[in-house]
Amino acid sequence: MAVKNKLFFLILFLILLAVSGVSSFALETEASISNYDVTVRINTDGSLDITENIRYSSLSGYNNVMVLIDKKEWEEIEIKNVYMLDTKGYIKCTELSEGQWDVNAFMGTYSLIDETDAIRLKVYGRFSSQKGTIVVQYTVKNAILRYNDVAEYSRTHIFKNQNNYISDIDILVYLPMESEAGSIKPFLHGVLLGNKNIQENRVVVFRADNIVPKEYVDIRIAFPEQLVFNAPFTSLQNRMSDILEEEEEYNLSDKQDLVRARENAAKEAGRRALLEKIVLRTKIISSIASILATTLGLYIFLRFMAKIRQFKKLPLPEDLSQIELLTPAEARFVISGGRTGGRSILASILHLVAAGFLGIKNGDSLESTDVLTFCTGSNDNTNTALSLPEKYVLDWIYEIVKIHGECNPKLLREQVSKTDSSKKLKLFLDEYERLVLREYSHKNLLENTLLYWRNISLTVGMLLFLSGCIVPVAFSIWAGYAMIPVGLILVVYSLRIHKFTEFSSTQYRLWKEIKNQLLRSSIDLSKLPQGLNDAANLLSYSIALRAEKNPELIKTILNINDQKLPLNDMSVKEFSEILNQTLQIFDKAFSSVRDVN
Amino acid sequence: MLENIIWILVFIGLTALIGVHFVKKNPKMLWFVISAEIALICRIVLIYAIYSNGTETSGTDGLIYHLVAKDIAIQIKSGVPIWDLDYKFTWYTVLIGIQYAIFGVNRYAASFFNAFFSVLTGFFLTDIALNLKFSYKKSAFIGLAFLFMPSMMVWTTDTRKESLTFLVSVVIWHLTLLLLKDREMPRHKQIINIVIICLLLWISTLLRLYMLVTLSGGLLVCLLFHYLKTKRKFSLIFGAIVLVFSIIIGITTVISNMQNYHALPKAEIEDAEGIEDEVDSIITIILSKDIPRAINGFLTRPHLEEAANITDISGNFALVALVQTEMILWYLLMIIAVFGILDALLKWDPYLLGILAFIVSYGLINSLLSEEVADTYYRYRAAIVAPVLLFADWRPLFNHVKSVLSRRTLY
Repeated sequence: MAVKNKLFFLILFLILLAVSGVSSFALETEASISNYDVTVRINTDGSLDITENIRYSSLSGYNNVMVLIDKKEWEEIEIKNVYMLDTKGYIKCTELSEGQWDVNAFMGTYSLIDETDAIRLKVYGRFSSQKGTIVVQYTVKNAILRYNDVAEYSRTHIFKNQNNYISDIDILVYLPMESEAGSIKPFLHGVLLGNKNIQENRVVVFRADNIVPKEYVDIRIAFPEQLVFNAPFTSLQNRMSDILEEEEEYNLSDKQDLVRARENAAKEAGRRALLEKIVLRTKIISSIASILATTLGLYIFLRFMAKIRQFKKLPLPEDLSQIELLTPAEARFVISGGRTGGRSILASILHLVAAGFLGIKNGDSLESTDVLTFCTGSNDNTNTALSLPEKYVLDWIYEIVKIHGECNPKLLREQVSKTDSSKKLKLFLDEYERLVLREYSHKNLLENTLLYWRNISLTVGMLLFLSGCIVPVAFSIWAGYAMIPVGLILVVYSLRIHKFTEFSSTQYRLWKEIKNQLLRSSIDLSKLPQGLNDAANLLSYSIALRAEKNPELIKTILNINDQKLPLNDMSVKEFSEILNQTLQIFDKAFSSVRDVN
Repeated sequence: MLENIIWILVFIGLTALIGVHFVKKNPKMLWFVISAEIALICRIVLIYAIYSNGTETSGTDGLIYHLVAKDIAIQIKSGVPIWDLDYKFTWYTVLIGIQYAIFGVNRYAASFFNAFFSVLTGFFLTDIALNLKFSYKKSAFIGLAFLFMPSMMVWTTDTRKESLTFLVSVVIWHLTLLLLKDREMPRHKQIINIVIICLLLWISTLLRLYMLVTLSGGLLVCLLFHYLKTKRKFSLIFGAIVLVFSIIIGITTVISNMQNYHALPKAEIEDAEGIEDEVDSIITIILSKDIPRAINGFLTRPHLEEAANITDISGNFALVALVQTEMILWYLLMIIAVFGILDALLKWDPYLLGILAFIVSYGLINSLLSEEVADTYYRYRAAIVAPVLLFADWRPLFNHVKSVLSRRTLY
C-alpha cells in the first residue's frame, strides 16, 4: 500500500477514534419518576384497595412504561383500572388479550406478566416527559396476615431491581378504622432517608424525598388484629415479638447495601455531572470552532471574490478589429462560463467550413433539405495549424463522411437512441470538451496570487465540507452544519476559477461586446474583429455566441458573397429555420448523452 | 423438517439460477455469486439459531407479524377476499398471511423468503454499481458488504418487513437506472418498468408510510436533475408519472393508513379526529426533539458503550464485540461516503443526487420521528446502508483535487 494511502487511513482512523470517543460521552436519557403516590386502603377482610399514581419526568423510550406490583404466593391480585394521561386528559387503558393483534394493540393498552414475586404491568401508549403519567388501581386479596396478637401489612412498593431515580414518594396506608396511635407500629425499609408518621390514629404516612437505583421501599405495619375482624387468621400464634425482633435486627444492621447504593448513585451523579460538563464544553468548543471555521471560509471566499472582482475593472481595447481571436469553441467556452456541448461543436464545424476543410453539401439546393449537411472541403492541407478540438472534430466528420458519404446531423438522432452509439458519442463529447479546456487553459495560466487563493480555497472548502458533515453529527450541534454550504461554495468556486482569471475576465467582456455588436439591428462589419468578415466565420462565431437569432445578422451573412457558404438566394426566414433545426439536433444529441457512463 | 429442507433447497437453487444469469452478464463475478450463496446459507443457519426456542415465542416485531399473519391466513381460508382482509400494523403481514394460507403456517419458510429477498437485494445493488460503471471489485465489495453486514443479517432473517422494504427500494432504483441508461429499451418495456416502479412505490408505502416521501422524493430529484442535464423529454415524462402516482398514493393510501401507523407512537383510542390530530402529533414529536442530537442518534447509535445494553445481545460478549466492530466500520463507511457525496455533488450526477435525496430525507424523517432508543435507530438505519455504500469511495474526489492542486494551468 502506498505511503499516501497509509497516511489517509491513519488520519481516518484518528478521526474515527475522535468521533467514537465523543459518542461515548453522549448522555443518554435515564428514566426517572418525579412523583410516586400510593394510597392503600386496608379492608376489614384483610384485602387491599391500592391506587398508584406515577409521574415520569423522563423516559428512555415513549412507547411503554413498566410497573412492578408486589405479589406474595398466597395473594390474589386483580387489576381494576389502568389510566394514562393523554393530550385530552386521562384515558382508560384496556388489557391486551392473548392473541390480540389489532390496530389498537399498543395504543392505550396494558399487559400483565406473572413473575415469581411480582406482577409486571406494562402500559403501552404515547408517552413523553410531559404526559408520562399513569394511574393503576388494583385489589389484593389475603394481603393482611392476621395473628393472635397483631395484624401485619407488609409490601414492597418499589423494588430493588428498579433502575429509576424516584422523587417525592408518598405512601398513605388507611387502616380500616381508627386505633390508638401507640398500637400502630409502622416500619420503613430500603431507604436511608425517609420518614413515617401516623395521622388521625388511622392513616400511616410514609415519605421519602428521593431514592436511587438499588434502594427500595418496603413497608411493614403492625396494627391491632381486631381491625381486620373479617379476615381469617393466618396463625393463632403471637407474632408481635418476632416483628419487633426482626425490626431491631434491621435497625442494627449496617445497611451496607443501601450505603453502597447511595455511594454508587453519588458516584454516578458525579460521573454524569462530569460527563455533562465535558459534553457541554465539547459542544461549546466545537460550536465555536465551527463558527470560526465558517467565518474563515467566508473570509477566504470574500478575499477570493475581491481578487477576482479587480479583473472586471480592467479597460477593454477600443478597436476590436485588431484583437487576437479565440476559436469559436473557446469563445463559446468563455461566454457561457465553461460550457461547450452541441452548439460549440457546430460552431467548430462551421469554422472548419470557413477554413475550407469541410464543405456544405447540396449548397445549391439547400432549400430542398431542412438541415445543414457537411462534406469534405477543398482544403486538404493537413499541415495547416488547427486547434486541437477542431482537428478532433475534423477527424470525426471525416470518419462519418467515409462511412455515409456525408455528415447529416440527423444521423445523431439515430446514434443517441442506441446505447452503444450514444456511448461513442459521449466519448467524443468528453474528449472534445477536454481538448477545448486544455487549449484554453494553456492561454489562461493562473498568476501566483490567484493560484495561491485557488489552492487555499479548494483545500479549506474541502475541509469545511467534510467537517460540516462530520462535526455536527458527532457533537450534536447546529453550528457545524453551516460549514457545509460554505465549504461547497468554496470548492465550486475554486474549481471554476477559469471563469474568473484576468485572461478570462478580459475575454469575457471582449466577447460579450462582440456578441452585443452581433445582436444590434444594424451590424457594422468593420467594427468586428478581422477574422469575422467572411460569412462562414461570422456564422460560426454567431452560433458560438448565441447571436444567430438576430435576423439582421442572418441578413448580413446572406449578403456576404462567400463561396464556402453557398446560400444562393435563400431568404432570412428559410435560412434561420435550417440553422435552427441543425442547431437543435446538435444541442439535443449532445445534451442527451451527458448521463452516459 | 422435510418441508424446511425443501424450502432451503428451493431458495439455494433460485439463488444459483439468478447467479448463473448474473455471471452470463458479468463473467468475472462468479466468486460474487458463490459468496452470495454463502450469505444465504449463513442466514439460514441464523434462522435456526434465533428460532431455537420455538417460533411462537421468539422475537418482538417479527413475532407479532407472524401471529397477525396466522390470523390473516385463517381469514383467507375462510373465504375473505384479499382486498377485504383485516390486516394490522403493516401490509407485510398480509404477504406472510397469503404465504401461510397457501403453504401452511411455517415461520421458518417466511424467514427463508426474507433471507432470499435479502440476497436478491445484494444482486440488484451490485448490478446498480456495475451499471454506474464502478469496477468489478468495487461493485462486488458493495454487494458483499451489504450481504455480510451482521446487523443486516439479523434484520433480514426474522419475519420483519425490513428485507422486503430494502428489496423494493433497491429494485426501484435499479429499474430507474435501467430506464435512464438503456436507450434502446422498447417503448412497451419502458411503460412496463415505469408501471412496476409505481407499483413498488405503492407497496413500499404500504410497508412504511413515509417511504412514499423518501422514495418518490428521491426519484423526482433524480429525474429533475437528469432532465436539466440531458434535456431528454423521457425523464420529464417519467418524473410527471411518478409525481402524479405519488399524489394518488398519498390521497388513497397514506391518509387512510395514517390512523394505523405503527412507527408513530400514538394512543388514539377515543375521539379520533383523523389526519389533523396525526399532523399535530407529528409536529409535537418533532418540536419535542433536540434535532442535532436526534440526527446523531439516527446515524451513530448504538454508541460503542451502548452495544452491551441492547436487550437481544446483552451479556453475549462475542455479539457485543461484533456490534461494536460493525459500528466502527459503519462510522468508517460514513466518513468515506462523505468524499463520495462531495464528488457526486461536483459531478452533478443526477442518479447519485437522487439517491442522496433519498438518504437525507429518510434519515431526517427517522431522526425526527422514531423512538430515541439505540435498537430502534440501529434497525431503522439499515435501510440506508445499501445506498450509502454506493458513495463509499474517496479516490475519485482525491484524485481530482490532487490533480487540480498540482498544476498551474486549469486543465
